[in-house]
Amino acid sequence: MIYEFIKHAIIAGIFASIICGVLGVYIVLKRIAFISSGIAHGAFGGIGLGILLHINPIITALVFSVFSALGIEYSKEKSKLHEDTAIGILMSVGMALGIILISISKTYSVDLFGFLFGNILSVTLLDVYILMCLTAITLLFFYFFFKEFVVISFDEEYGKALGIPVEKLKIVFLMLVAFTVVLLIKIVGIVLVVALLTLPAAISRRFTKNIKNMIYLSVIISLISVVLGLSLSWYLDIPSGATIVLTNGIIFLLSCFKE
Amino acid sequence: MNAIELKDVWVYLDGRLILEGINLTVKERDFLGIIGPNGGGKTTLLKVILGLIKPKKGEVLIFGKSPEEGRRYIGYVPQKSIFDPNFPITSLEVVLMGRCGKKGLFTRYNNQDIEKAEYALELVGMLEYKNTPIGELSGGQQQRVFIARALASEPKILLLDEPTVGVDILIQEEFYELLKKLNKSMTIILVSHDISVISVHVKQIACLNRKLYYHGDKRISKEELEEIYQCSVEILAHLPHRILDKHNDL
Repeated sequence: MIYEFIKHAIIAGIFASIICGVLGVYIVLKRIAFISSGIAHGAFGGIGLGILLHINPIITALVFSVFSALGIEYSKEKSKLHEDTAIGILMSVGMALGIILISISKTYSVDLFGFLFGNILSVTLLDVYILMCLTAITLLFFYFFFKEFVVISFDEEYGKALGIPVEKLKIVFLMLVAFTVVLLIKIVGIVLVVALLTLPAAISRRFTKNIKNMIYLSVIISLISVVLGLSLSWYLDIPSGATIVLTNGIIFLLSCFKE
Repeated sequence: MNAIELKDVWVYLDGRLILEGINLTVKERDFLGIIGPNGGGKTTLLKVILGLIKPKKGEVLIFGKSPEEGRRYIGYVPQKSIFDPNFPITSLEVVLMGRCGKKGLFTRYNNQDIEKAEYALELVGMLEYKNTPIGELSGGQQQRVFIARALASEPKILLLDEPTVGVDILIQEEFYELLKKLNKSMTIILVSHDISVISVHVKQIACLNRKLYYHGDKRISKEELEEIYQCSVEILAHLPHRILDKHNDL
Protein backbone atom coordinates (compact mmCIF):
# COMPACT_ATOMS: atom_id res chain seq x y z
CA MET A 1 0.00 0.00 0.00
CA ILE A 2 2.72 2.41 1.00
CA TYR A 3 4.48 1.65 -2.26
CA GLU A 4 1.50 2.92 -4.25
CA PHE A 5 1.68 6.27 -2.44
CA ILE A 6 5.35 6.68 -3.18
CA LYS A 7 4.88 5.63 -6.76
CA HIS A 8 2.14 8.25 -7.25
CA ALA A 9 4.24 10.84 -5.52
CA ILE A 10 7.24 10.23 -7.74
CA ILE A 11 5.27 10.08 -11.00
CA ALA A 12 3.32 13.22 -10.04
CA GLY A 13 6.61 14.89 -9.12
CA ILE A 14 8.11 14.09 -12.52
CA PHE A 15 5.15 15.45 -14.48
CA ALA A 16 5.00 18.50 -12.25
CA SER A 17 8.70 19.16 -12.91
CA ILE A 18 8.18 19.04 -16.66
CA ILE A 19 5.27 21.50 -16.55
CA CYS A 20 7.02 23.82 -14.11
CA GLY A 21 10.25 23.74 -16.09
CA VAL A 22 8.50 24.74 -19.32
CA LEU A 23 5.87 27.13 -17.99
CA GLY A 24 8.36 28.63 -15.53
CA VAL A 25 10.35 30.05 -18.44
CA TYR A 26 7.29 31.98 -19.58
CA ILE A 27 6.58 33.13 -16.02
CA VAL A 28 10.15 34.30 -15.45
CA LEU A 29 10.55 36.01 -18.83
CA LYS A 30 7.14 37.72 -18.59
CA ARG A 31 7.73 38.51 -14.90
CA ILE A 32 4.36 37.18 -13.80
CA ALA A 33 5.52 35.23 -10.74
CA PHE A 34 3.34 37.37 -8.51
CA ILE A 35 0.31 36.61 -10.70
CA SER A 36 0.86 32.86 -10.26
CA SER A 37 1.14 33.31 -6.52
CA GLY A 38 -2.05 35.40 -6.56
CA ILE A 39 -3.91 32.70 -8.48
CA ALA A 40 -2.75 30.05 -5.98
CA HIS A 41 -3.97 32.03 -2.98
CA GLY A 42 -7.22 32.96 -4.73
CA ALA A 43 -7.81 29.28 -5.42
CA PHE A 44 -8.00 28.63 -1.68
CA GLY A 45 -11.50 30.12 -1.80
CA GLY A 46 -12.35 27.32 -4.21
CA ILE A 47 -10.89 24.71 -1.90
CA GLY A 48 -13.12 26.00 0.91
CA LEU A 49 -16.17 25.87 -1.36
CA GLY A 50 -15.36 22.29 -2.39
CA ILE A 51 -15.07 21.22 1.23
CA LEU A 52 -18.36 22.93 2.11
CA LEU A 53 -20.21 21.35 -0.82
CA HIS A 54 -18.50 17.96 -0.42
CA ILE A 55 -17.03 17.96 -3.91
CA ASN A 56 -13.40 17.37 -4.79
CA PRO A 57 -11.76 20.68 -3.72
CA ILE A 58 -9.35 20.53 -6.64
CA ILE A 59 -12.28 20.92 -9.06
CA THR A 60 -13.70 23.98 -7.31
CA ALA A 61 -10.19 25.36 -6.95
CA LEU A 62 -9.70 24.99 -10.70
CA VAL A 63 -12.85 27.04 -11.34
CA PHE A 64 -11.68 29.69 -8.88
CA SER A 65 -8.21 29.82 -10.38
CA VAL A 66 -9.58 30.35 -13.87
CA PHE A 67 -11.73 33.25 -12.67
CA SER A 68 -8.84 34.67 -10.64
CA ALA A 69 -6.59 34.58 -13.68
CA LEU A 70 -9.21 36.25 -15.87
CA GLY A 71 -9.90 38.82 -13.15
CA ILE A 72 -6.24 39.79 -12.89
CA GLU A 73 -5.88 40.01 -16.65
CA TYR A 74 -9.04 42.10 -16.91
CA SER A 75 -7.93 44.52 -14.20
CA LYS A 76 -4.61 44.88 -15.99
CA GLU A 77 -6.04 45.60 -19.43
CA LYS A 78 -9.30 47.36 -18.78
CA SER A 79 -9.62 48.94 -15.35
CA LYS A 80 -7.51 51.61 -13.74
CA LEU A 81 -6.51 49.27 -10.92
CA HIS A 82 -2.79 48.51 -10.75
CA GLU A 83 -1.91 44.90 -11.30
CA ASP A 84 -0.19 44.42 -7.95
CA THR A 85 -3.17 45.95 -6.15
CA ALA A 86 -5.55 43.63 -7.99
CA ILE A 87 -3.43 40.61 -7.07
CA GLY A 88 -3.12 41.72 -3.45
CA ILE A 89 -6.89 42.05 -3.12
CA LEU A 90 -7.56 38.78 -4.88
CA MET A 91 -5.13 36.71 -2.83
CA SER A 92 -6.26 37.95 0.57
CA VAL A 93 -9.98 37.82 -0.26
CA GLY A 94 -9.55 34.32 -1.70
CA MET A 95 -7.78 33.09 1.43
CA ALA A 96 -10.34 34.75 3.73
CA LEU A 97 -13.22 33.23 1.78
CA GLY A 98 -11.59 29.79 2.01
CA ILE A 99 -11.18 30.01 5.78
CA ILE A 100 -14.80 31.16 6.31
CA LEU A 101 -16.23 28.45 4.04
CA ILE A 102 -14.20 25.72 5.75
CA SER A 103 -15.28 26.99 9.16
CA ILE A 104 -18.97 26.99 8.10
CA SER A 105 -18.65 23.47 6.73
CA LYS A 106 -17.79 22.26 10.26
CA THR A 107 -15.45 19.71 8.73
CA TYR A 108 -12.72 19.37 11.29
CA SER A 109 -10.72 16.70 9.54
CA VAL A 110 -9.50 19.07 6.79
CA ASP A 111 -5.76 18.92 6.24
CA LEU A 112 -5.26 22.70 6.14
CA PHE A 113 -1.53 22.33 6.56
CA GLY A 114 -1.50 20.05 3.52
CA PHE A 115 -3.23 22.65 1.35
CA LEU A 116 -0.96 25.44 2.50
CA PHE A 117 2.37 23.64 2.38
CA GLY A 118 1.67 20.55 0.31
CA ASN A 119 1.67 16.85 0.94
CA ILE A 120 2.80 14.90 -2.07
CA LEU A 121 1.86 11.63 -0.39
CA SER A 122 -1.81 12.65 -0.62
CA VAL A 123 -1.61 12.56 -4.42
CA THR A 124 -4.13 10.11 -5.85
CA LEU A 125 -4.08 8.14 -9.08
CA LEU A 126 -6.68 10.56 -10.48
CA ASP A 127 -4.35 13.49 -9.72
CA VAL A 128 -1.58 11.70 -11.58
CA TYR A 129 -3.80 11.27 -14.64
CA ILE A 130 -4.84 14.93 -14.58
CA LEU A 131 -1.20 15.99 -14.28
CA MET A 132 -0.33 13.72 -17.20
CA CYS A 133 -2.97 15.37 -19.38
CA LEU A 134 -1.88 18.86 -18.37
CA THR A 135 1.75 18.02 -19.15
CA ALA A 136 0.76 16.78 -22.59
CA ILE A 137 -1.36 19.88 -23.27
CA THR A 138 1.42 22.21 -22.10
CA LEU A 139 4.06 20.52 -24.23
CA LEU A 140 1.83 20.46 -27.32
CA PHE A 141 0.95 24.10 -26.81
CA PHE A 142 4.61 25.11 -26.55
CA TYR A 143 5.46 22.99 -29.58
CA PHE A 144 2.82 24.53 -31.83
CA PHE A 145 3.03 28.09 -30.52
CA PHE A 146 6.74 28.32 -29.86
CA LYS A 147 7.34 31.23 -32.23
CA GLU A 148 4.40 33.16 -30.78
CA PHE A 149 5.66 32.35 -27.27
CA VAL A 150 9.01 33.94 -28.13
CA VAL A 151 7.44 37.07 -29.64
CA ILE A 152 5.00 37.57 -26.75
CA SER A 153 7.74 37.07 -24.14
CA PHE A 154 10.03 39.51 -25.94
CA ASP A 155 7.67 42.28 -27.05
CA GLU A 156 3.88 42.00 -26.93
CA GLU A 157 3.21 45.20 -28.83
CA TYR A 158 5.39 44.04 -31.71
CA GLY A 159 3.44 40.79 -31.73
CA LYS A 160 0.22 42.74 -32.14
CA ALA A 161 1.75 44.72 -34.99
CA LEU A 162 2.54 41.39 -36.67
CA GLY A 163 -1.12 40.45 -36.43
CA ILE A 164 -0.57 37.69 -33.84
CA PRO A 165 -3.62 37.17 -31.57
CA VAL A 166 -1.54 38.23 -28.56
CA GLU A 167 -4.41 38.72 -26.10
CA LYS A 168 -5.97 35.33 -26.82
CA LEU A 169 -2.67 33.48 -26.56
CA LYS A 170 -1.85 35.26 -23.31
CA ILE A 171 -5.15 34.06 -21.87
CA VAL A 172 -4.28 30.49 -22.87
CA PHE A 173 -0.86 30.82 -21.22
CA LEU A 174 -2.52 32.19 -18.11
CA MET A 175 -5.04 29.33 -18.08
CA LEU A 176 -2.15 26.86 -18.25
CA VAL A 177 -0.53 28.66 -15.33
CA ALA A 178 -3.82 28.61 -13.38
CA PHE A 179 -4.36 24.87 -13.92
CA THR A 180 -0.74 24.09 -13.08
CA VAL A 181 -0.90 26.15 -9.91
CA VAL A 182 -3.96 24.25 -8.66
CA LEU A 183 -2.49 20.83 -9.42
CA LEU A 184 0.72 21.83 -7.69
CA ILE A 185 -1.17 22.72 -4.51
CA LYS A 186 -1.23 19.04 -3.49
CA ILE A 187 2.49 18.71 -4.08
CA VAL A 188 4.03 21.88 -2.66
CA GLY A 189 1.04 23.77 -1.28
CA ILE A 190 -0.43 27.21 -1.96
CA VAL A 191 2.33 29.14 -0.25
CA LEU A 192 5.19 27.33 -1.99
CA VAL A 193 3.76 26.97 -5.51
CA VAL A 194 5.46 30.05 -6.84
CA ALA A 195 8.89 28.67 -5.92
CA LEU A 196 8.50 25.63 -8.15
CA LEU A 197 7.27 27.82 -11.00
CA THR A 198 10.10 30.34 -10.85
CA LEU A 199 13.27 28.88 -9.30
CA PRO A 200 14.18 26.29 -11.98
CA ALA A 201 13.71 28.84 -14.79
CA ALA A 202 15.54 31.54 -12.84
CA ILE A 203 18.48 29.18 -12.30
CA SER A 204 18.65 27.98 -15.90
CA ARG A 205 18.58 31.56 -17.13
CA ARG A 206 21.95 32.11 -15.51
CA PHE A 207 23.53 29.43 -17.63
CA THR A 208 22.20 30.04 -21.12
CA LYS A 209 21.48 32.82 -23.61
CA ASN A 210 19.23 30.66 -25.75
CA ILE A 211 15.55 30.39 -25.02
CA LYS A 212 15.23 26.73 -26.08
CA ASN A 213 18.16 25.67 -23.92
CA MET A 214 16.66 27.68 -21.08
CA ILE A 215 13.54 25.50 -21.28
CA TYR A 216 15.46 22.21 -21.45
CA LEU A 217 17.77 23.17 -18.59
CA SER A 218 14.88 24.43 -16.51
CA VAL A 219 13.09 21.06 -16.87
CA ILE A 220 16.27 19.21 -15.87
CA ILE A 221 16.83 21.40 -12.80
CA SER A 222 13.19 20.99 -11.89
CA LEU A 223 13.43 17.19 -12.17
CA ILE A 224 16.61 17.05 -10.09
CA SER A 225 15.19 19.21 -7.33
CA VAL A 226 11.89 17.31 -7.16
CA VAL A 227 13.46 13.84 -7.11
CA LEU A 228 16.23 14.90 -4.72
CA GLY A 229 13.78 16.81 -2.53
CA LEU A 230 11.37 13.88 -2.37
CA SER A 231 14.12 11.41 -1.45
CA LEU A 232 15.47 13.72 1.23
CA SER A 233 12.03 14.29 2.70
CA TRP A 234 11.47 10.53 2.75
CA TYR A 235 14.75 9.62 4.41
CA LEU A 236 14.85 12.55 6.84
CA ASP A 237 11.09 12.39 7.47
CA ILE A 238 10.55 16.11 6.80
CA PRO A 239 7.71 17.79 4.78
CA SER A 240 7.98 17.06 1.05
CA GLY A 241 6.92 20.42 -0.42
CA ALA A 242 9.26 22.45 1.76
CA THR A 243 12.14 20.07 1.06
CA ILE A 244 11.66 20.40 -2.71
CA VAL A 245 11.57 24.18 -2.47
CA LEU A 246 14.67 24.28 -0.24
CA THR A 247 16.53 22.00 -2.65
CA ASN A 248 15.68 24.47 -5.41
CA GLY A 249 16.73 27.36 -3.21
CA ILE A 250 20.10 25.78 -2.51
CA ILE A 251 20.71 25.13 -6.23
CA PHE A 252 19.80 28.78 -6.87
CA LEU A 253 22.26 29.97 -4.23
CA LEU A 254 24.99 27.78 -5.70
CA SER A 255 24.25 29.17 -9.16
CA CYS A 256 24.83 32.67 -7.82
CA PHE A 257 28.48 31.79 -7.31
CA LYS A 258 28.80 31.29 -11.04
CA GLU A 259 29.42 34.99 -11.60
CA MET B 1 -1.92 53.13 -55.88
CA ASN B 2 -1.06 55.05 -52.72
CA ALA B 3 0.92 53.13 -50.13
CA ILE B 4 -0.82 54.77 -47.19
CA GLU B 5 -3.89 56.94 -47.04
CA LEU B 6 -5.40 58.57 -43.95
CA LYS B 7 -8.67 60.43 -44.38
CA ASP B 8 -9.85 62.75 -41.61
CA VAL B 9 -8.52 60.54 -38.79
CA TRP B 10 -9.40 61.51 -35.21
CA VAL B 11 -7.88 59.67 -32.26
CA TYR B 12 -8.66 60.07 -28.57
CA LEU B 13 -6.72 58.24 -25.83
CA ASP B 14 -8.21 58.27 -22.32
CA GLY B 15 -10.56 61.01 -23.48
CA ARG B 16 -7.69 63.23 -24.65
CA LEU B 17 -7.54 64.35 -28.27
CA ILE B 18 -4.25 63.03 -29.70
CA LEU B 19 -4.75 63.24 -33.45
CA GLU B 20 -7.02 65.86 -34.97
CA GLY B 21 -8.39 65.40 -38.47
CA ILE B 22 -5.29 63.85 -39.99
CA ASN B 23 -5.18 63.68 -43.77
CA LEU B 24 -2.10 62.02 -45.21
CA THR B 25 -1.23 60.44 -48.51
CA VAL B 26 2.03 58.53 -48.82
CA LYS B 27 2.97 57.36 -52.31
CA GLU B 28 5.10 54.36 -53.16
CA ARG B 29 8.87 54.94 -52.73
CA ASP B 30 8.23 58.07 -50.67
CA PHE B 31 10.69 58.66 -47.84
CA LEU B 32 8.65 60.66 -45.38
CA GLY B 33 10.08 62.07 -42.18
CA ILE B 34 7.52 63.01 -39.54
CA ILE B 35 8.82 65.45 -36.97
CA GLY B 36 7.17 67.07 -33.99
CA PRO B 37 7.58 67.56 -30.27
CA ASN B 38 7.45 64.69 -27.81
CA GLY B 39 3.85 63.83 -27.01
CA GLY B 40 2.72 65.27 -30.35
CA GLY B 41 1.19 61.98 -31.43
CA LYS B 42 3.95 60.61 -33.68
CA THR B 43 3.99 57.11 -32.20
CA THR B 44 0.19 57.12 -32.05
CA LEU B 45 0.06 57.90 -35.77
CA LEU B 46 2.29 54.90 -36.54
CA LYS B 47 0.11 52.69 -34.35
CA VAL B 48 -2.98 53.88 -36.17
CA ILE B 49 -1.36 52.89 -39.46
CA LEU B 50 -0.53 49.47 -37.98
CA GLY B 51 -4.09 49.03 -36.75
CA LEU B 52 -2.98 48.88 -33.09
CA ILE B 53 -5.08 51.93 -32.24
CA LYS B 54 -8.54 52.39 -33.70
CA PRO B 55 -9.42 55.95 -34.71
CA LYS B 56 -12.67 57.31 -33.38
CA LYS B 57 -13.42 58.72 -36.78
CA GLY B 58 -11.85 58.53 -40.22
CA GLU B 59 -10.40 55.97 -42.56
CA VAL B 60 -6.97 54.33 -42.80
CA LEU B 61 -5.95 52.47 -45.94
CA ILE B 62 -2.77 50.49 -46.61
CA PHE B 63 -2.56 49.79 -50.34
CA GLY B 64 -6.32 50.26 -50.39
CA LYS B 65 -6.89 47.73 -47.61
CA SER B 66 -7.77 48.00 -43.92
CA PRO B 67 -4.79 48.15 -41.50
CA GLU B 68 -5.53 44.60 -40.26
CA GLU B 69 -5.14 43.28 -43.79
CA GLY B 70 -2.64 45.82 -45.00
CA ARG B 71 -0.13 45.49 -42.18
CA ARG B 72 1.37 42.40 -43.76
CA TYR B 73 3.00 44.81 -46.21
CA ILE B 74 4.51 46.77 -43.33
CA GLY B 75 7.80 46.23 -41.54
CA TYR B 76 7.77 47.98 -38.17
CA VAL B 77 10.74 49.13 -36.12
CA PRO B 78 9.35 50.20 -32.73
CA GLN B 79 10.81 52.91 -30.55
CA LYS B 80 14.00 51.60 -28.96
CA SER B 81 12.18 49.03 -26.98
CA ILE B 82 12.68 48.77 -23.29
CA PHE B 83 13.50 45.13 -23.87
CA ASP B 84 15.33 43.18 -21.22
CA PRO B 85 19.03 43.14 -22.23
CA ASN B 86 19.43 39.77 -20.55
CA PHE B 87 16.64 38.21 -22.57
CA PRO B 88 18.00 34.87 -23.76
CA ILE B 89 17.77 35.35 -27.51
CA THR B 90 20.20 35.63 -30.43
CA SER B 91 20.09 38.21 -33.24
CA LEU B 92 18.89 35.58 -35.71
CA GLU B 93 16.02 34.59 -33.43
CA VAL B 94 15.03 38.24 -33.07
CA VAL B 95 14.99 38.64 -36.85
CA LEU B 96 12.95 35.45 -37.25
CA MET B 97 10.15 37.15 -35.27
CA GLY B 98 9.59 39.25 -38.37
CA ARG B 99 8.50 36.07 -40.17
CA CYS B 100 6.04 35.14 -37.41
CA GLY B 101 3.09 37.13 -38.75
CA LYS B 102 3.51 35.70 -42.26
CA LYS B 103 3.52 32.11 -41.07
CA GLY B 104 0.19 31.86 -39.29
CA LEU B 105 -0.60 29.82 -36.22
CA PHE B 106 0.33 26.15 -35.74
CA THR B 107 3.45 26.44 -37.87
CA ARG B 108 7.15 26.48 -37.10
CA TYR B 109 9.99 28.30 -38.85
CA ASN B 110 11.53 26.32 -41.71
CA ASN B 111 14.78 26.64 -43.66
CA GLN B 112 13.25 29.20 -45.99
CA ASP B 113 12.41 31.45 -43.03
CA ILE B 114 15.94 31.11 -41.71
CA GLU B 115 17.37 31.95 -45.14
CA LYS B 116 15.19 35.06 -45.36
CA ALA B 117 16.15 36.11 -41.85
CA GLU B 118 19.83 35.64 -42.66
CA TYR B 119 19.41 37.64 -45.87
CA ALA B 120 17.83 40.47 -43.87
CA LEU B 121 20.78 40.39 -41.46
CA GLU B 122 23.14 40.54 -44.44
CA LEU B 123 21.31 43.61 -45.82
CA VAL B 124 21.98 45.52 -42.61
CA GLY B 125 25.52 44.14 -42.35
CA MET B 126 24.90 42.10 -39.23
CA LEU B 127 25.11 38.53 -40.54
CA GLU B 128 28.34 37.80 -38.68
CA TYR B 129 26.56 38.51 -35.40
CA LYS B 130 23.65 36.15 -36.05
CA ASN B 131 24.45 33.92 -33.09
CA THR B 132 25.28 36.76 -30.71
CA PRO B 133 22.77 37.39 -27.92
CA ILE B 134 20.96 40.66 -28.63
CA GLY B 135 21.95 42.09 -25.24
CA GLU B 136 25.65 41.83 -26.06
CA LEU B 137 25.40 44.11 -29.11
CA SER B 138 25.94 47.89 -29.09
CA GLY B 139 22.97 50.25 -29.41
CA GLY B 140 23.61 50.84 -33.11
CA GLN B 141 23.99 47.13 -33.82
CA GLN B 142 20.77 46.35 -31.95
CA GLN B 143 18.98 48.95 -34.05
CA ARG B 144 20.24 47.24 -37.21
CA VAL B 145 18.99 43.89 -35.97
CA PHE B 146 15.55 45.42 -35.31
CA ILE B 147 15.54 46.81 -38.85
CA ALA B 148 16.51 43.37 -40.15
CA ARG B 149 13.55 41.98 -38.18
CA ALA B 150 11.25 44.41 -40.00
CA LEU B 151 12.86 43.51 -43.36
CA ALA B 152 12.50 39.78 -42.77
CA SER B 153 8.80 40.02 -43.57
CA GLU B 154 9.72 41.40 -47.02
CA PRO B 155 7.69 44.56 -46.51
CA LYS B 156 6.67 47.19 -49.05
CA ILE B 157 6.53 49.85 -46.34
CA LEU B 158 8.99 50.43 -43.53
CA LEU B 159 7.85 52.31 -40.40
CA LEU B 160 10.58 53.50 -38.06
CA ASP B 161 9.89 55.11 -34.68
CA GLU B 162 12.75 57.27 -33.38
CA PRO B 163 15.35 54.89 -34.79
CA THR B 164 18.41 56.98 -33.99
CA VAL B 165 17.82 57.64 -30.30
CA GLY B 166 20.88 56.54 -28.38
CA VAL B 167 22.91 55.92 -31.55
CA ASP B 168 25.98 58.09 -31.98
CA ILE B 169 26.24 60.50 -34.88
CA LEU B 170 28.79 58.60 -37.00
CA ILE B 171 26.71 55.46 -36.91
CA GLN B 172 23.63 57.55 -37.72
CA GLU B 173 25.20 58.57 -41.04
CA GLU B 174 25.74 54.92 -41.94
CA PHE B 175 22.23 54.23 -40.84
CA TYR B 176 20.72 56.81 -43.19
CA GLU B 177 22.83 55.43 -46.04
CA LEU B 178 21.22 52.08 -45.36
CA LEU B 179 17.74 53.62 -45.42
CA LYS B 180 18.53 55.39 -48.68
CA LYS B 181 19.45 52.04 -50.19
CA LEU B 182 16.26 50.42 -48.88
CA ASN B 183 14.16 53.33 -50.16
CA LYS B 184 14.91 52.22 -53.73
CA SER B 185 12.58 49.30 -53.24
CA MET B 186 10.25 50.37 -50.44
CA THR B 187 8.30 53.24 -48.96
CA ILE B 188 9.75 54.56 -45.71
CA ILE B 189 8.15 56.57 -42.95
CA LEU B 190 10.48 57.72 -40.21
CA VAL B 191 9.34 59.44 -37.06
CA SER B 192 11.70 61.61 -35.03
CA HIS B 193 11.77 64.60 -32.73
CA ASP B 194 15.18 65.54 -34.12
CA ILE B 195 14.58 67.91 -37.04
CA SER B 196 18.16 68.55 -38.00
CA VAL B 197 19.34 65.05 -38.83
CA ILE B 198 16.16 63.88 -40.43
CA SER B 199 15.70 66.78 -42.85
CA VAL B 200 18.93 66.10 -44.70
CA HIS B 201 18.09 62.53 -45.52
CA VAL B 202 14.39 62.26 -46.25
CA LYS B 203 12.47 63.17 -49.42
CA GLN B 204 9.36 64.55 -47.71
CA ILE B 205 8.75 66.15 -44.34
CA ALA B 206 5.57 66.39 -42.32
CA CYS B 207 5.13 68.06 -38.95
CA LEU B 208 2.87 66.62 -36.32
CA ASN B 209 1.59 68.12 -33.13
CA ARG B 210 -1.96 66.82 -32.84
CA LYS B 211 -2.56 68.28 -36.32
CA LEU B 212 -0.48 67.29 -39.31
CA TYR B 213 1.22 69.83 -41.54
CA TYR B 214 2.26 68.32 -44.84
CA HIS B 215 2.58 69.70 -48.36
CA GLY B 216 3.79 66.57 -50.11
CA ASP B 217 7.39 67.74 -50.16
CA LYS B 218 10.11 69.11 -47.87
CA ARG B 219 8.63 72.55 -47.24
CA ILE B 220 7.43 73.74 -43.88
CA SER B 221 6.83 77.40 -43.13
CA LYS B 222 8.38 79.23 -40.21
CA GLU B 223 4.92 79.94 -38.83
CA GLU B 224 3.96 76.27 -38.95
CA LEU B 225 7.12 75.22 -37.15
CA GLU B 226 6.55 77.85 -34.49
CA GLU B 227 2.97 76.72 -34.03
CA ILE B 228 4.01 73.10 -33.76
CA TYR B 229 6.87 73.56 -31.33
CA GLN B 230 5.20 76.43 -29.43
CA CYS B 231 8.39 78.44 -29.50
CA SER B 232 10.21 80.72 -31.89
CA VAL B 233 12.17 79.07 -34.64
CA GLU B 234 15.45 80.54 -33.36
CA ILE B 235 15.08 78.55 -30.17
CA LEU B 236 15.08 75.36 -32.22
CA ALA B 237 18.82 75.83 -32.20
CA HIS B 238 20.01 73.42 -34.84
CA LEU B 239 17.22 74.16 -37.25
CA PRO B 240 18.10 72.94 -40.71
CA HIS B 241 18.24 75.81 -43.14
CA ARG B 242 17.42 73.58 -46.03
CA ILE B 243 13.78 73.43 -45.10
CA LEU B 244 13.22 77.14 -44.63
CA ASP B 245 15.47 78.35 -47.44
CA LYS B 246 13.62 76.34 -49.99
CA HIS B 247 10.38 77.78 -48.80
CA ASN B 248 11.62 81.33 -48.92
CA ASP B 249 12.75 80.84 -52.51
CA LEU B 250 9.21 80.22 -53.60
